[in-house]
Amino acid sequence: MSSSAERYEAEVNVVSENGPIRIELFDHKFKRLAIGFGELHQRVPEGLYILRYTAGTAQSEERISVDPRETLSPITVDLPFPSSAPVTGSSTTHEFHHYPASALSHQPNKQLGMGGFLMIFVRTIDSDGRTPVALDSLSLWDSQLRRILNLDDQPVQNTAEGWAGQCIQLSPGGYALQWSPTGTGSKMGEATEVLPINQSLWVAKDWMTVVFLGYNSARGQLERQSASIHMVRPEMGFNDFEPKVNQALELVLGGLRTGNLVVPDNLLDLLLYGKFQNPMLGIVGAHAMLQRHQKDWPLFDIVLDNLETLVPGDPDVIALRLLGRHLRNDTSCTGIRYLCWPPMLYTGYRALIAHDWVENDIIKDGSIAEISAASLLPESPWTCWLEKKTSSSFLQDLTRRMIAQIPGSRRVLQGIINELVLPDSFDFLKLPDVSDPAVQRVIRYISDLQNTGDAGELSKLSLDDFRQTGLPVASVKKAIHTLFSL
Amino acid sequence: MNQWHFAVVVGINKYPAIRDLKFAKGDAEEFAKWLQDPMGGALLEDNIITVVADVPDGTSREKAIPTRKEVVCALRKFRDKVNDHIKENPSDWERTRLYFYVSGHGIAPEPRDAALLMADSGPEDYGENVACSLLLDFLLKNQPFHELVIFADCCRERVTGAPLGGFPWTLTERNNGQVLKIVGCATYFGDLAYEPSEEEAKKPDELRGYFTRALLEGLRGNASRNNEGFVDSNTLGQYVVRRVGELTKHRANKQVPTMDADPGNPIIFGKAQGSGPQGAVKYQIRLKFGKKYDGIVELRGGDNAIIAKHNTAEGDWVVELSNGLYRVTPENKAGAMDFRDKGFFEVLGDKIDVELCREI
Repeated sequence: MSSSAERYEAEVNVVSENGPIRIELFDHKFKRLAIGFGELHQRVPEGLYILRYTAGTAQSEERISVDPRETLSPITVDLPFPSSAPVTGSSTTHEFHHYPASALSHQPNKQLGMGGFLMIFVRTIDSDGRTPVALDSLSLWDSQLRRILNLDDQPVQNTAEGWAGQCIQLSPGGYALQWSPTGTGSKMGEATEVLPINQSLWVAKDWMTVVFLGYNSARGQLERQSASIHMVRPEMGFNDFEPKVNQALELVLGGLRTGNLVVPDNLLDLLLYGKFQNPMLGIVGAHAMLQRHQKDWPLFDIVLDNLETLVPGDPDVIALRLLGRHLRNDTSCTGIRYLCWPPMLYTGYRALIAHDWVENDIIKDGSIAEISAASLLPESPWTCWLEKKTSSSFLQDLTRRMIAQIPGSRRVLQGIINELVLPDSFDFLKLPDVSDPAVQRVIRYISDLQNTGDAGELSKLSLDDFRQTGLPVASVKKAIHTLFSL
Repeated sequence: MNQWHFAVVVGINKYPAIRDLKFAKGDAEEFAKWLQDPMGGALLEDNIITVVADVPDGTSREKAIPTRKEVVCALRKFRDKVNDHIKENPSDWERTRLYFYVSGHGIAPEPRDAALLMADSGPEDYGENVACSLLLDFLLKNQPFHELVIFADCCRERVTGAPLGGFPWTLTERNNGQVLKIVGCATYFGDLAYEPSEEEAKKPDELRGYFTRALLEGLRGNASRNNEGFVDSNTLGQYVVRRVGELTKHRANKQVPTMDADPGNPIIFGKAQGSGPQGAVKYQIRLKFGKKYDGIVELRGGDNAIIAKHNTAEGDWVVELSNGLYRVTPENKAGAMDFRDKGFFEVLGDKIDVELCREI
């Protein structure tokens, strides 16, 4: 039976000009009625509604009326979002940054090896984008953590246009971009000690890793967490021929940065389609697939197979393989051994460390992948770790006292040592100092357990419990030996 | 009363090594009051541990309380109590809930975190914190409680290198069933949460962090939406996000809370006081037209129906409205392009003045 006065209805049609941004429709009581990415089409009855648009940290709202007396025109949304990469649709894009970035990627200005390329492009992202950038806080280190280049050593730059960069031919492998401290301080009002920070980079054979860094001239700071990393074919260089694909990567990186990674089908399709031109799209897309409730494992495996063909040996792809197995509770042996360099993505590195407890020797003892875990900064999306602090006698004394004050701790340590199976290569002379971050983390765990755990928990402690420290197995073993030797 | 609901509530004003706060402890105590209220959380008194402290001025950082230990031990006490009970009475698991509310200084080394700095924290000791993300991770795997309600009214400043304060408990993974959760943070990752100034707050009840104020308003009825007047994790989330934005819009940086809940599996907080179809709370709204518009205007509700009419020549128009989106349009005319914001305005938990005069 139909009502004689049926309520008027109309369709709300919204399309984004800036790629698959998030579009939400709310009713007059602020209840969400519909969500779309890049577009939204929803039939609604006469009434008042709110549309909310979100892209990374950018957000805006508009109110609309569905009214028989008004024609509801299709709505085109233009919500530029901030991005370190000069991609179309970002609020920080300038043509005078885009073209030099593209040109530099076609003409490397330094050669320090062969087989791969790394471009680091820094540009001013606030104001009119023309403030000169400073590179003096950045340097590049090789896989043995030997400095190979100061970024301010003869860069290609244009101070009037607010950009500078280096495009370097390098041997494939792991590199660290080191960020030297440029200031101290916290908004809570107290200064903190600031140490250099290393960021993991990977240069794949026959690919160019492109790192875009934003310079905030108002703060006088390079912004580490908003860095964008792409991978391109050297002969193609960086370009923005397919802006939607670049926008997709930037939107997903924005989601990783803010902990709000929701990737709809159309965005995921863009990422997975684009991975042949830019494997970072596939890597980030695969992470996005693992965040979903309903996981498409066959598709995930195809994506990884393709990535392994495109960039064999890439730590981020290996980490994804391990992460996928972990989520499927697959504990069979992978045959993966002795990884030396941490993945570029923080989530991947965490997965690598977690899997080191499932399968022996995933992470090579003494490698950067092992050592940096204790100083890993819990910040997303990139893997960054603090340079080691120099040892202080105060810290050593404090640690000795701490261990002495925990009743039964020596017996516990002895019990674990008895359980350890040490490789032949284990070198007791190379045990870490008590001020080593891994040793500090292990003592903190024991001390926490003593202070806040169950009375009997300390005595039942086994090596496996130390996985909660977030350290690789080798780091824990060495730390326990160090503590026992005190 | 909810016999198997438990709460650990933490509020810290005194930080010898950082700077003191004004309202965090009071916010925690007010939240505990709501928990104990039979019309609120309806928790038994013994099921609430309020971790607050009055420490004298001049207390050193090392001696400042509360510390991580008190919080972790309080959580462990309830975890153990529930685990012991569920072992014998597994069917009661669906009746269990944990509230974890914290208010004080906070940091967020990673995006999904809000880590409360304990009183003995300091620039060299930011590791003295309780990380909500690690608690959540543990409780989702260990599953002592069916429902998890976590609210953090603290800053989420990115502090490089600070370790997250975890929970050194043996992790036994269980599969009791689906765990429902809501995790509310006062501010977006990397941002600050604010307290109002004494001048800014006109009433004692406004001497509260913006997030906790909105949270309590919502729990006490403002976040009810459906005809039954229930507040649930979805309606609460929507209310708090909008309300905090409204309360902080005058600040240089608007505070944007995050309320992460599963829309398909809401947590019910109880029937709101004074709500329901007949009892929705109404606020006095003053609509101002200035001298730039003369004529009859119509006030439209959410369904676009006319609620009332007014002749602007009579001056301001005072109406009583409940929470929602409204619009003022010139009589018999579609649209209201001449009015500010096209005549739209929102009512959200408070009385307001709405300037509608035409933009020139």
